[in-house]
This record gives sequence, C-alpha cells and structure tokens, in this order.
Amino acid sequence: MNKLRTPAGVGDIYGKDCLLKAHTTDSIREVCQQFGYGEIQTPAFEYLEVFGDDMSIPSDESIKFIDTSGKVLVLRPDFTTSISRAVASHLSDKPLPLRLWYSGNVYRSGETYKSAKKKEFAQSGVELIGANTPNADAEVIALTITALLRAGLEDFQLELSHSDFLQGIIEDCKLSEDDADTLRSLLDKKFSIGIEEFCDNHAITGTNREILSEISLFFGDCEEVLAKYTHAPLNEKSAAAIADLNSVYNILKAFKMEKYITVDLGQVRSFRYYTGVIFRALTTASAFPICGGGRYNTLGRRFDLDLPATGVAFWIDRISDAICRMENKLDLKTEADAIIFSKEENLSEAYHLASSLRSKGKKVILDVCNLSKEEAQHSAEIRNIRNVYFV
Amino acid sequence: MKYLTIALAKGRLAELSVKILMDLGYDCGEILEKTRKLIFTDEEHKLKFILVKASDVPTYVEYGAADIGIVGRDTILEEGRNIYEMVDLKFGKCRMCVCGPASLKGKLGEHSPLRVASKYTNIAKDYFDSKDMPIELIKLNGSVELAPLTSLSDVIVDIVETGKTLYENGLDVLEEICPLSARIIVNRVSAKMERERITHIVGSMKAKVHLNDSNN
Repeated sequence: MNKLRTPAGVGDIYGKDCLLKAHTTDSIREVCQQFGYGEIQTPAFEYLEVFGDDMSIPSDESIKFIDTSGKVLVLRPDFTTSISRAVASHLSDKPLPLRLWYSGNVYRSGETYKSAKKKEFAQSGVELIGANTPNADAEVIALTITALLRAGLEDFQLELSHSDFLQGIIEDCKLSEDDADTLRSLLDKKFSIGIEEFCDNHAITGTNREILSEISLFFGDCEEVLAKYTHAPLNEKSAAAIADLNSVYNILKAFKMEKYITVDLGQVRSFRYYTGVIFRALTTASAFPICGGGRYNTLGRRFDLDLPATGVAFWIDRISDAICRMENKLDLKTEADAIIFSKEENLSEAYHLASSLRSKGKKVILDVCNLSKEEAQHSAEIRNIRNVYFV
Repeated sequence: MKYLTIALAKGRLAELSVKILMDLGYDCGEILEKTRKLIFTDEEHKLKFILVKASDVPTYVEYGAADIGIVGRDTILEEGRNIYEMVDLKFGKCRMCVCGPASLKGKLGEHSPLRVASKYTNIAKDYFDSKDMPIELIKLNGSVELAPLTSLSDVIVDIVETGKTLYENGLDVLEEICPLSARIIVNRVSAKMERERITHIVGSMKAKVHLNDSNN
C-alpha cells in the first residue's frame, strides 16, 4: 500500500484552506466569547457507553476501537453528549446557567453518511446549560446568527421547528415507536404521497390528518405559519410547542433578527435527544445545513444530571465552503509579507529587523539556508514575497 | 435572479417531463431534438435543464448541482439520497417486484439463504431485511431475467411494466415490493432558500398531471 495515502474519509488541508478554516473558527470563537461563553475541551474518544443508547448518534455511525483492556472506545461523534458528561462529572456545582463553547473534530461513518463520504468534521458550538426559558433558546439562536454574519455570510435562513409539535401529534395518534419513526422519515423527506398513505393505513383523521397532509408544503414565513397554528385545535403538547415558538420568535423580533428567521414544523429532529425548540441554518451556497441546534432537556439524565439545556453546532467546513463560494471572497493571503536574507556576520541585526517588522504585525521569514543573493532573489520570487531584505 | 436547475433523467421520462413543462410555458422543447447538448436554458424563466443518467439525478439534487430533479421512484429508493420527494407525476407507472419461476410462489422462505439477483441491490436488501429473510445478493447490470434461467439465482428483483419479458421467459411475479412512477425531487436547501419559485414550478406541474390524470 502507498505510504503517502490517508485512510478514506480523512485528509490533509493546508495553505488557503487552513486560513479560511481559521477565519471561520476564529469568527465563531470571538462571538462565543463576546456572548460570555467559556471554553471547554473534551477528549477525542470516550467509552462507547457515553454515546451508547438510542439517545444520540446510532452506534453504526460512529467509529469504534478497542483499548488494551478490551473496552470499546468511540471517536467522539457529537460534542453535546460529551459535554453533558463533562458537566455532570466536574461542573454541576458551578453557578447556573453554564455557558460553554467548544471547537474540535467529530467523527462519523456508517450507511447514513455514505453520501457524505467524509468521516472527520470540524465543529464549533456552544451549550447553554441550566436555563429553560425561551430567552435561553433565543440567546443561542441570536449567537448563531451573529457568528454567521461575523464569518461573512449574509444570505442565510435560520429555520425553526419544535420537536414537541410532531411528538404531540404522534402521541395523540397513539402510534407505536416504529410507526412514529416511519412517519418521521416520511415527513423528513416531505414525501406527501407516502404521508397520505400512512394516514390512511393508521386511520389518522381530523386535525392531525389535516396538519400532517399540509405540513410538508406549508413552511417558510414564520408569522404566517405560527399564526395559523396558534388558533388551531391542537393537542396540548403541540399547542405548547407553538406557544414556545411564538415566545422565542417574539424575543428574536425584539433583537431585530426576524429577517433571518423562517419556520418548518415538518423539520424532523436530527438527534433523538432534542426536546424543544430546534433549528438549523441554511444558505444557498451550501447544499447541506451549516448549523444545527436545539433544546435537549433530558440528555443529561443519562449522567444523573437533570438540567435543561440548549445549544448549537456549527459545521466549520460547510461554512468555509459557503464563504469561499460567495462572490466577494475574503482576501486570504498565504504568502509572508517579507523575507530577510543575511550574511552570517549580520545575523543579529537581521534577527532584530525581523523582530521589529513582526511586532508591527508583518509576517516575516528569516532565511535559514545561507543563500547567495541570486538564489535568494529567486527564492523570494517563487514564494511570491514582494519585500526582500538583504542584511 | 439566480438560475434554477432542473435535472431530467435521460430517456422517456425526460420526454414526458418536457411535454408537461412546455404545456406550462417553459422553453425547453430543444431537449426533444436529438442533439448532443447536455444543458438547455430558458432565459425568460431563468431555468436551466440538464440531461443526466437516471441514477445520477438524485446525486445532482442532493449536492445542489440541480435544485429540482425528475426521476423514477426506483432510482430514488435505490440511491437513498437525502432529498425531498415532493410530487408523484403519475407517469412512467410500473412496479418493483420479486420475480422467478411460478413454482416458487409462496415458497421464498424455504430457501435459506435465498439467492437474489438484481440491478437494485439496495431495494432488494431493504425488502428482504424488512421480512427478516436471509439472502445472498448478486449484482447484475442488465438482462436480469437470465439469472434464474441459468441458475445464477433463485429469484430476481426488477421493474415490471407489462410483464411481457417475464412471461416470455417462463417467469412470474412472485411478490410486489412497491408501485413506481416518476417523481419530482427537490434539494433540501433550495426548497427553503428558493421557496417561492420552486413551490410555483413544482405546484404547477403537480396541478397539470393531476388534471391530465382526471381527464383520462
């Protein structure tokens, strides 16, 4: 086998791609810090039990290996679960709510991701733990919008939904867990013919039928959709979900962010642990959502931590890609600003010149190869460095 | 205004789709002239039409290279892409079936594992998985009916339109997996970011085929 090859699904990045990625990560980090969030780092791999049951990523979508004592380890497929574990083990006595941000890689494989062959994904995000108010949901959404704007995106939508809206209908129809999964996957594909068939086969009638039939095509304008369901004869759970969305939307309006907000009540939660307002960010420049987040009030119970929480994860590579595809591309320069060549006896002077330029924010290379003047000029030229000093 | 791109599955589905699109006033008749062009543009409506191999339509749509696609449900099921399947166009109707010698009717469970040949390996696997039946799967690329005749497999999973090819080769439909027809699929992000234009195109095509359907 070729020694230079990397395994399928992972790869090297360098040069402009790294600068772009750093730009995205830095923009998000700055905004997280400005919102008063503190950093948390968790290990890249954990025991399988942390992610193990049906609450987060299906086990066949994670990358597993075995440690020397025979325990199964899993490369972190999701930050939120790791952070819940970390909070339960170290931070549960800290003043609430906790505001945490993170940045790192998640790893996923398996059939569901066959269309996205990548296995290593850079993610940044935040978790707001210990607050169960619409203000907390709105804060995380406002932070998301601010971070995307800071990174340089303009044309995007922040699409809201609520996991209890569908859950309420599913419970009202008394569907089994398997049937509920089938219905969720039909709604997720907006497969209206399939939804009608499903309703016929499960004798779903009345308001529930009406909503399921129309929901896959009735999305977009937040005021219109929420207004329609605010006065609809809904079951208790779905009605509470609409009330919840109304509260969050009104706060975002007060923040003057409504122009970024849309709604799709047929949006199916991407993680089973979501329990309330969920959202994702979409932009024309990316075929996949660039952020996803939501409320997960029960996830912590797995770690004996009963705290309501909400959060968001940013898909760094997709955001970088979207920025790269925009017309007014960022000016990312990989080359150094200056290069200094020196004679051996002038090395001290050369180093001081380099230091003084560097302290002014210039990117300066100090040659280490003792090149002749001719070789030096050629070297600067092929590196595309304009300012060349000879000391 | 940004161009919206519609991917059409080369062949009969593209021809039928073009007729509907032309009836709705879109300028895409050029597709019916047998040229070597792959991209056609309707400047007035800012639409681009691309002709691609059927099995690639869901891929173009998933990755957003096309916003909308028109393709058979067999391809959608087989490719399993992350897309919205919004409208049944009601043409290109046929069935996905398990076929084999009539003597096997009702006796598929007796073979363990059952040897299944198909172009549609994902559909075959999902179907027999859902029935908890162990199978041995053999991927073929054409003339699938030959497989049971040459003892390559016990049965096949394939599209049945009239059943003529089957009957002429002494085979029969043993089980129906699902009905098939042409569908409109939509990229998940485009559906949101270009909601009004896409809803308009998709909605008017839906209305048109349902009108045609009720007139027949």
